[in-house]
Amino acid sequence: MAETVLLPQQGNSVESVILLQWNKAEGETVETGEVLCEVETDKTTMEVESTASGTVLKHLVQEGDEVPVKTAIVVIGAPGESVEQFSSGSEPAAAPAAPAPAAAPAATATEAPAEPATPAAGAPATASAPAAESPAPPGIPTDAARSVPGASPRARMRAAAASVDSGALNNLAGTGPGGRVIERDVNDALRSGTLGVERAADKAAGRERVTPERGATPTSVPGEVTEFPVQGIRKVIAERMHASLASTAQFTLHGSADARALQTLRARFKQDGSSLGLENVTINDMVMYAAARTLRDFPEMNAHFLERVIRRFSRVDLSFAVDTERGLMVPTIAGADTISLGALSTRIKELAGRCTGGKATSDDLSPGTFTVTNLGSFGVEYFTPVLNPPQVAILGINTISLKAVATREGTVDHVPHLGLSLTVDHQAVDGAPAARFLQELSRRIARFDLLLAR
Amino acid sequence: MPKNQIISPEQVRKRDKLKIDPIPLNQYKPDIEKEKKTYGTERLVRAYYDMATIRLFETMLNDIKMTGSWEGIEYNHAGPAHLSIGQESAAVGLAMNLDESDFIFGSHRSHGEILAKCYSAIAKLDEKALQQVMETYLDGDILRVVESGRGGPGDSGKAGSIRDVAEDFILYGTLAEIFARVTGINRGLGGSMHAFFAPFGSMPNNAIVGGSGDIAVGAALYKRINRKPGVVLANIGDASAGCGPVWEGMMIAAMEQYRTLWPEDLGGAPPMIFNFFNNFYGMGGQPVGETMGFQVLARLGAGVNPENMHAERVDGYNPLAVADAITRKKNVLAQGRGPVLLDTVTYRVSGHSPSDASTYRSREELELWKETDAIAGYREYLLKNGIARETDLSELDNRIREKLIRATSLAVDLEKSPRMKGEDIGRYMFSNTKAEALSEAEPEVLIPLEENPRVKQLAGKERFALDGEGKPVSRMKTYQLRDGLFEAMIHRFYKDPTMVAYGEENRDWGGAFAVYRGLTEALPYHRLFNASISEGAIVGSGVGYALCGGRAVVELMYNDFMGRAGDEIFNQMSKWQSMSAGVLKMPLVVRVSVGSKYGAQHSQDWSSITAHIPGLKVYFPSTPYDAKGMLNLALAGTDPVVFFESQRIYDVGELFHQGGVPEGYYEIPEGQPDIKRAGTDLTILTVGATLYRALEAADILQEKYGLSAEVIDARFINPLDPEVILESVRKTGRILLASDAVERGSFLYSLAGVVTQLAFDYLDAPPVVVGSRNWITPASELEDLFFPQKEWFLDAIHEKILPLPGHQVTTVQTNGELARRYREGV
Repeated sequence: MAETVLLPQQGNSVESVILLQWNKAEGETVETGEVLCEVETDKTTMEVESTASGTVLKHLVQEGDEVPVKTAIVVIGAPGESVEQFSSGSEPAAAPAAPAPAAAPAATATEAPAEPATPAAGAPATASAPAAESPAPPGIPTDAARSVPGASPRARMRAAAASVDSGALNNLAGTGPGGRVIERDVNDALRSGTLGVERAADKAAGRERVTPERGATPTSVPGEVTEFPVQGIRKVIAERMHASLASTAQFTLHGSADARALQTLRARFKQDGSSLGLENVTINDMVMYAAARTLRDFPEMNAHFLERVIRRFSRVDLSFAVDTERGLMVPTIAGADTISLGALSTRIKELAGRCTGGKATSDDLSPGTFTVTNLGSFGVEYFTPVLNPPQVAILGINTISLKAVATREGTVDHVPHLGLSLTVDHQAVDGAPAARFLQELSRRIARFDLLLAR
Repeated sequence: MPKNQIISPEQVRKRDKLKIDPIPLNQYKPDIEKEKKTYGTERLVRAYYDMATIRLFETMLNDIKMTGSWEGIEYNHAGPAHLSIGQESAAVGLAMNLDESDFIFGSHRSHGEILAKCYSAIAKLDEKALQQVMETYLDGDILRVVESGRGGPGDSGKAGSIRDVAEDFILYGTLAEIFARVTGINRGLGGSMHAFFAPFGSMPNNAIVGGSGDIAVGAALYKRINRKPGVVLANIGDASAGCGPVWEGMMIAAMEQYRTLWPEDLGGAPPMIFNFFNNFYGMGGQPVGETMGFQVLARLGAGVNPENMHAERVDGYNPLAVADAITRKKNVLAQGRGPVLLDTVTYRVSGHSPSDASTYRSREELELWKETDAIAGYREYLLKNGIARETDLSELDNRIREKLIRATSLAVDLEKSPRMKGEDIGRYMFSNTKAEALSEAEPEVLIPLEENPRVKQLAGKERFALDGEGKPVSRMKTYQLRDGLFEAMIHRFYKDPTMVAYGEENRDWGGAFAVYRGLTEALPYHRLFNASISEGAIVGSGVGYALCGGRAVVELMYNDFMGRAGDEIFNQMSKWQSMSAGVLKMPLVVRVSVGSKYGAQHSQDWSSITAHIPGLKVYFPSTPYDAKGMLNLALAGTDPVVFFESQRIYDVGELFHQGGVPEGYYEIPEGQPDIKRAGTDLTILTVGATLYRALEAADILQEKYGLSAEVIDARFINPLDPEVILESVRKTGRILLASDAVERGSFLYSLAGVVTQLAFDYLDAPPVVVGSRNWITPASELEDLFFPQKEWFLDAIHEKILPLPGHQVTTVQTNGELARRYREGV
């Protein structure tokens, strides 16, 4: 009897994945536990193991498909068995990305639209009353009882051309008959930026965020143009970063810390650390260590800003940015404030390796409480890191450069300083506390040898 | 309407008695000496041979149908087989004195008539002509199979003559046709009930009872009008005397104008014989004593004209009696004194079909006719009079059996006689050819074209409806839609000598809508005439005229009258090109108009009904430019066209085509819709006169709501290239389809379905159809409630496609209302 293999749930937050490649073609045999295929979540790529043994009779989804978790992806059985009764696991009905509209369909007609209905092209600007409310003389029935507020195929196509997920159209107040989302609604939303902005209500309802229209107008740049679909990690980054800028009030403080203690220690680790396994501890590791240990004393910086609540954490789960071929990834070290510098350094390298190798697990990528990002190795002197919401702060590490420092003797010394750029969400943290954190962090970095002893 | 006769009250009110001449019954007296002298021994024996061939052919089919085998040849025949065992002598007697230029049209029971007529032609044609027919017919496909089957063991015909091969050709070709093989005489597309072989004068046989009763009249008209030799017979059953089209055919065949108004040198009435093969049963019903009242069918002639249609009853159980009658009636027809009615008595010993248990007749009756068996009787007659010896006839019997075994073996062989590949059927639906003229003769006209009063009048008309400043030209000066139709008609009349136009009120005053004004002056009577009010036979005779190779334009005045010509439009004009596998063409245009103001039976748009019938081309122009170009197109083709016109717009001028309607000849590309007004926000597609209401709606959409509507006139219903419409919808995302046809079952729903499938992703709303209400067309004063109005368009757009800001609806166009109308069936 043929059976199907379900796409396993990939961590708590994953609702669907992109199937990257089939490792077992139709007709090949597979054993339980063998890798069937590779999939990409919004955070990473993973391998899916078979839960059945036999011959691969039919792929129910194809490479490149977006597949909801817990749906059948393959039929495995004896050669020649019928696969008729098995349907594709990627049918739209099973897609989780289409949440039910918040409002009951029947109610939409009488509710004021969330967005003002804009008149059709060329219509007088004043004629903006929603059509549903247009008066009808007594005795002439109109379809007041609205039903099926979906989006028209054309509206969906328009959204797709603007790289907007069609699920987002459910958030729009349709001005078509029966509240249908029609082309003009999408155009209006793209113009006003409504689409792509994660609105409070959406966030609360756990709706998918979308990016707004970008590059929707055809370009006429001469020469060869290559197009890449915005999907997988790139799509997640796009959505997250835009949502970050759109939904927070972020500002960045720049400062620097005396780097001599770090440099000295780094030289010592390199020279003598091998016996202790510390020869690869980097300045980056030390700054992350310093940050984790300092955050413990500044709980307002180790927090999440949510819609109605700010959640401060006693433990520091430190996220850090890793540059990979597929794009930026942000793994997290849980309890980073409780482990030694050596252990932290090892953990950082492990995680970074898994990210670049495309093998990070969902747990590796679970959300942290604070993020560190480092562009110093590229000689960047200062930048404005983009917050990783709902975290309220992110620390950017810059390059080390010489800073003129006045000595007590009244002369000027040139002291190496490590640049630090701290972005915070003003919604949660004001300027002064943020500055105090940055100041304390700089101090501790300058006295890193002492911090280690703490 | 010729105004040359006076209906005198004194005369028509006079006390008198109508005298009807006696109608002869079975007057033939056998006279062997005379018969020998007339036919010679060989032909008398040949009549036996032909009858015995038919008997064995039908017996073979009966055995195959009933037992699945004959002479050891196994075959399961799924299709029909209406056999004529018992009727062979009537068929052979009929054919004996017919030439290959004489045409017979038959019924569902015509295997015997095909064989008899073709064997008769084979005996008369010279070998060279026979060989040529066989080599060229269907590219020689039949001949190749027949030749492959010859020369086998025991084949007495291996060194056979061309006549011998030709007999095999007909036996095999007919059987292969019955068995639906691509090597059949109609490539298997006709089958048992429709098979025919035109080169030998066996014309279409018809599965509709009485179907040949009017089609054959068209063939007779063709022969008379185009001065072709030969007579035409409709071989129909006694029960078909109850069919309207048969009577209508007789009425048209008996019109007095042939002898009173048509040019004398044409030769008088069409050479038409209505031959009723009277086997006394209409399936199981009995016309005599049960389902009709004439008792003697020949009596019907007395109801048609003072000559009783030269009617007589002929003993069909004596082939020589029938042959004699044919010779005498051909003389009558040669004098232009037709039509003729024959009541040819015969009897079907076999059932209506093999599934018929003959429960409707007594065994006693059946035995009486078997005892009277015509073949046995004729055989006895030949032997008795020393025309043939027993051994001669037995040898013939053997020869027939051998031939038929050969033909049957070939016909059941799927390799030698394959069936048509499915998709190929589509290739035969239309001929899609062009013909400037269907004959090389000189067109008969009365005056040079430039002297035509209407041509002269049109020279002074404005061929565009607006003047230089965009103001409408006065109606009297405007070149109108009806003028476009006229120019197309007269152009082709002066090019194609075979072209005729007739129908209701066609001559003398230019038809009910003045389209033909000016044609009376131009054309002799036989090219333009009024027909009796016989819609079925008007179209049916047009079918017969066209399938003989002439171009006919027939007019029904109102399209509501198509119901009266339903069979002729839906089963005949639409199907004979494909049922003949392209052997026949159908250069027939049926002009019909969509009325208004005349209530429930004169104001409907039935274009959607024709859309449902495969094999019809359907045109519906709504501007003068399109009207002329589309009628030009229809009159240059060889396919059947139902040409719709709207009475509302016969007088419109050309508003769209820049430069107006060209004076010269042009054609509209077939199947191409036309964008009458470009737009970007919404597509409105119309069929017919609805175009003008759509344009009014488009004006309001623009002025009041800033919406730019693209208005497209479909122009064609079939064929129809959807690309122009799809391109528009891909641009606008929205489409409203409208016509004056009632909404339910409207062709526009087909089109909407096509648009939905082919442009689904581009749609911003479902395609919406606006049609007339599913009611009777009410009185003129109430018509606005029935036909689509511009307000309906706006309200439908507002409710279903694109809510119009601030729009106040005045009609109910909601989805709920649509559901209600369907629920209630109104």
